[in-house]
Amino acid sequence: MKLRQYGWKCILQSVFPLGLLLPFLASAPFAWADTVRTLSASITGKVVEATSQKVIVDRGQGRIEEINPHLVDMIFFDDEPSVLRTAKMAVAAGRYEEALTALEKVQLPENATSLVRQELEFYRSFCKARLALGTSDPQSLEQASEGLSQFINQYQNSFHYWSACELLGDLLTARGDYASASQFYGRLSKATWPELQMRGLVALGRTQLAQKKFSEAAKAFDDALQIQATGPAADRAKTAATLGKARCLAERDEPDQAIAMVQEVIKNTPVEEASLLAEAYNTLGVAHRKAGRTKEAILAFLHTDLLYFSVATQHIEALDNLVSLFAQVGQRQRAEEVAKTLRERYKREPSG
Amino acid sequence: MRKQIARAGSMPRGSQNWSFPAVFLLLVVCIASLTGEITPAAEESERFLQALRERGYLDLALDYIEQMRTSPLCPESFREVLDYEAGVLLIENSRLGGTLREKSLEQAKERLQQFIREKPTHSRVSEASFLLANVAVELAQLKKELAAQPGKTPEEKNKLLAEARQRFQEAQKAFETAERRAYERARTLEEEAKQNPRKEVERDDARRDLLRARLSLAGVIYEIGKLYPQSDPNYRAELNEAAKRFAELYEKYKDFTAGVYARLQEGRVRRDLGDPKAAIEIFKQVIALLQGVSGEERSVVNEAVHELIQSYILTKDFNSATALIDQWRDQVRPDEESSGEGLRVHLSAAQLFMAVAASQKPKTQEHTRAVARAREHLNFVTRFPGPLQREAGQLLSQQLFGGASDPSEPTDFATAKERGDTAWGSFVVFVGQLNAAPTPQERQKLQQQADQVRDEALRFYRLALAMRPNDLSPDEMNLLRFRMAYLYWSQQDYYRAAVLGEFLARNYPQNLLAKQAAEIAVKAYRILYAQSSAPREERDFETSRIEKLVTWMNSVWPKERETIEAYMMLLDTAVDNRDLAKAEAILGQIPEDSPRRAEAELRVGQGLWATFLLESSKESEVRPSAEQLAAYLQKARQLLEQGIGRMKSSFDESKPVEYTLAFSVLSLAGLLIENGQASDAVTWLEDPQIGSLVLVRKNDPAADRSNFRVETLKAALRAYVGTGQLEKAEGVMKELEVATSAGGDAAAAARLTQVYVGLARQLQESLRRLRQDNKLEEADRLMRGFELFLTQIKSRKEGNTFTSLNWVGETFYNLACSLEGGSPGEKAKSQEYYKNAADTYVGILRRIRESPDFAPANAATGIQLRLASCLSGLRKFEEAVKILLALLRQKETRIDVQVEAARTYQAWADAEGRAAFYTLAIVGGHEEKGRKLMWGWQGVARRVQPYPQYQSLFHEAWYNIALCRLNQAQRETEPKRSELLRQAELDIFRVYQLYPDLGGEATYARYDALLRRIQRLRGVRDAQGLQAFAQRGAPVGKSL
Repeated sequence: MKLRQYGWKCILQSVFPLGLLLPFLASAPFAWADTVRTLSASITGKVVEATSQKVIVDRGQGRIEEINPHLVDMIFFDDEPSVLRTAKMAVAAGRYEEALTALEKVQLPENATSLVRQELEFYRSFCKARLALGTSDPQSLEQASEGLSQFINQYQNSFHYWSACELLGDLLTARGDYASASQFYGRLSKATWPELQMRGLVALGRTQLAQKKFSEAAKAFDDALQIQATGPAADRAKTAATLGKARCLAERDEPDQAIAMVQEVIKNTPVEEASLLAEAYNTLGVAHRKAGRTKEAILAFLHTDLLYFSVATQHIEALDNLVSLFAQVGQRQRAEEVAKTLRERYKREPSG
Repeated sequence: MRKQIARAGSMPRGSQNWSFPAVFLLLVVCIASLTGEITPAAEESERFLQALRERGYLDLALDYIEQMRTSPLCPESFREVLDYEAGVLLIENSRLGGTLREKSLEQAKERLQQFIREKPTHSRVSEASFLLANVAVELAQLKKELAAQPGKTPEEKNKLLAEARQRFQEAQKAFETAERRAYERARTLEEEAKQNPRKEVERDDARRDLLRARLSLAGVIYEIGKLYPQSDPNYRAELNEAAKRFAELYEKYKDFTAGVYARLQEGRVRRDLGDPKAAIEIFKQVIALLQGVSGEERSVVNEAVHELIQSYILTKDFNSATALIDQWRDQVRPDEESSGEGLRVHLSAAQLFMAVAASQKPKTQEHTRAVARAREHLNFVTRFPGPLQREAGQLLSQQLFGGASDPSEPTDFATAKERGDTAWGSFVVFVGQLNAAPTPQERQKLQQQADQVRDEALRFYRLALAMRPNDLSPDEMNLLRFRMAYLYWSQQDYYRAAVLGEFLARNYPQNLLAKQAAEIAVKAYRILYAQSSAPREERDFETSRIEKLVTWMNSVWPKERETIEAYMMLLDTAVDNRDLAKAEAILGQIPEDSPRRAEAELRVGQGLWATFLLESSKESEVRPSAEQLAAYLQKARQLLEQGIGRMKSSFDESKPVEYTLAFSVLSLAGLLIENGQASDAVTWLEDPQIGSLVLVRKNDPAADRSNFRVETLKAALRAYVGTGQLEKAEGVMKELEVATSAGGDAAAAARLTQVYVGLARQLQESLRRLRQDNKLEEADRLMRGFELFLTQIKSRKEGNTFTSLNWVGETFYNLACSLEGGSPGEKAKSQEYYKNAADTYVGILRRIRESPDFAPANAATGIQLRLASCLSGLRKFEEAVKILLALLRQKETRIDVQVEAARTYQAWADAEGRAAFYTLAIVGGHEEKGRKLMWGWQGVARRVQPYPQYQSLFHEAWYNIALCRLNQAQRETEPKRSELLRQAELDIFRVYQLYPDLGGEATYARYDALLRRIQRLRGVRDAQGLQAFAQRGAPVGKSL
């Protein structure tokens, strides 16, 4: 499962129904209140099974609901410590440092269930991974990779398995270890569910892109797009695959086609999808740059810098491009300012 | 509780003169672009635009707007307001100041007008109308500021004030429209709000807009009034109207702060109407009404205090003012004191105490106390950067406070910079006053003062740079650099000016001053080029710096004014370097619609014309081909006609003709005359607007420049003769006589003679060129025209003077010379002309004998000399020599006679092949009393060598020595032949060793051509001419 950054609005949307339901549930025969949050809904009941193959919730009165694990955004267990719950809500809001600080202090009771223990381990590794990806500090990346790898090895049957694999792949890509990253992404691409396969293929495609293997990357994206799947997760993956394909076109000197593709994606992507939009504008920037349209490229990358800077990897790419583009048009002062941001925030030197 | 109309923070720049509606402008700008809807579509246009704005990327924000016009991502709601947003951005951009301010405001105006035109029912039209009105106000303010700048002539000032008035009147109309619109809207919403409380917010907005419009309108009327001189009835009329409106607004809105502000404005107007007492009461009332307020209303209080102090100064009520200041200081909060209004109060207080000091006897206790208090207030103001800081600094430098700045050296960056800034401020003022200086003495005094403060400013800025803090912002640093570059320029330290200017431009191209810095650099390099004493072809450093800088400027600021100016410098350099291909390429970089295009075309055209004249006069061995010369001529004509056409199309008859244009017309006429197109030349010379002859006859100021008048009349004379308009030609001759006798002195006749001699030589050259270009028909026409004219003059019974007859003789002589080496028919004609010339000179001599006053003293010698030349031309060498020897016996040291004697023997030797005459030409002869009466070329060369003014004669002599040897060699057999050729080559080599430039380009080319002939005759296969000397050193077989 990959957590999405919906922001506070979506958290409220999920919390309010819970808040409203609780009084009702309290009077219901079933008292257990685990909450399983998916992309589209929140389901309360008792989680009777949560593995890498399925999550089953008993909603009482004979209603059993089975959910594919990769569609689960987060589970709040009724018996988890409140500190853990608070930390998870901070994670959902993207406040990873705050969450990690809280998680490090959590002490589970001796009778804590294995699921709750998994939660703690997972979110500790998850936060470290997210923070490492945000700074791109090599040491942090390495430590986070080790932590997540340990989790995967220890909890191969966890319902977090798929998101852990994907996240580990991201960490390894950030470290330049594309071969190892591909292995973990490959696990997703071979999963049962089409949405997960798509996500795996998209991730593999991105790894190929990072290695400038544009033909291989294009094939991976095309393969992802060939998969028949519906639903929000599939839509996201399709969008990501389309963007990946557009990037390949841009890199292979078909910038105008890439631009048309990306514009279509932007038109149809909600504003909350910061990560996708950041990627879209960066792809647009690359395409315009390839086409020699420097001003348009600057404006595209500035979208990421000014609006979607929370997506660290994309922000870094945008800043890196802006340094050289500003220098190209003779705006040295602006180039220096952007380079300064790159150094101070991400401890990186401009590549140009 | 008083209701507030929120003010948007500190006053915008320039607001002290237009304090009121500009406040609202800032408010409007802040809210204008934040009230749009959040778009549901993924392109977050409004958010992105706002982010660009906050980052300070105004240029990119404008680019983004343009991009959105055609982008499929642009939400429809945003597309509708593109022009509006562009207008808002351009207004913000204009706040950055500098040369872009007016352009940005004009563009903002266009955009807002377009928005209103295309979207009349859009909800932002009301805001757009206000913005448009305020743009008109800002443009008016700009013109007003320009008019107030020192150095403006009264005409310029009046024109600018008239433009300012026009803009304010535009603003007035716009505010009236806004008022009407707001009134209608408010009225409608009043009714709606009664039924629907949710409409109350909109109703309040509409009321606010109405008040805003009315206040702005009253303010504009006030400003319009202030533009008139106080003695003009419009001044009082407009101010009275403004006062009335402000009073009405106060009555209607006294519960609002804006109403009280209207009252404050009324006070100002009353004071300007000459009623300071009424103003004082009003200001006191305002202060009382706002007693105890907090927040933004405090700034209104402080403004009122400032105005009240000013009014007390006017009425000399120093006690009341002092009491007010003391009270204010007791109550004012620290943050208020250092605000814009607070600093103004301090400055007014300083002015008050300076007035108090002026009213006291010096060195009394009261005087000292007043000075101390003034100084205290001024010192406070100087702590805060801004225009008031400079004003305070300048006041502190007055004698009242001990004169010039503190003599002790500054010990920190801030102090050094502050002193530098003060000196810079004074420098700017002195320079501005220089242009308006009424007398040369005043001008000299101002120049000295300007130089002194300039040097001071430089010194302090250098110190400041040495002590600068690490965190000094690039903008501050670059302002220092720019000022220093300008100061170095003023100091004529062009190298430093160039280096600093170029550094700033290249490293900080987006800085506001970068373009101007680049312009300083390129012009400084150009001056370094012009001042260099190195030969043109060795000025590589300056040339390459100009080229590189211009190329870079074009890559960063294509088509900007400064880049075009830089191209003009490069073009000038290319023309000076005679690199006309490059000059033409540079011309291509100057846009057709640039105001400098015409000048550039004329420059290149003149360059081509000058090149044509130079190249066509070269010896045949090194002269370019006829096609190439024709190409120069054709291109020169095309460019001159084009440039003149452009300048003529924007010609304003009410203004004097620019000298560039007048000179270009004359150049074109000269070109046409040379090309045998005399009738076209006449058309240009007689052009009723810009014809050179017309300007001369109208006594246009252009005619007084340089030798314009005489050159024009010469050209006209040639043109009229060339077209057979002999009566007109005679008329011009009379005008020439008048022009050269303008001084009324004895030298006038000599001047006229020189003019005619020059004219005759020009004619000779023209004929030679025409023949060279095979334009035989044109040459013939020219010749016949002159022949007819000269005969007409000569045979006049009356009216002939020595000068006119001398000119006839001279012209016939030159006509003869031009035909000498031609076809048999031309040679025959040449003889005829020599005869005519000789007859004329004989006639002159006869008249001198009859009447010694006929000619200037000693004129007879010159005439006899010319007669000898004519006889030489007629192959009557013996008679010629007789005359020359007689003249030498009178005065041996007459160089012109010596030269003619050598020339005559040389021609005699050429004609009859007599070797002895070559020797005489070279070494001289005719011994009398133990010395050679005739020096020969060698004697001439030896005697003139020490004198730089005879350099050309020196080379003439040596050239002819070598030529004599060559010509003689061709008549000899071996071994004498080889010996003579070797000697000829050695002659040239010796001169080359002494003077490698051989007297300049023209003589260098002649020597070169001669040397090639010699080398070929010596059997050198690849005759390289002088290049062989440069490469090898001595000629082959140096030893004698």
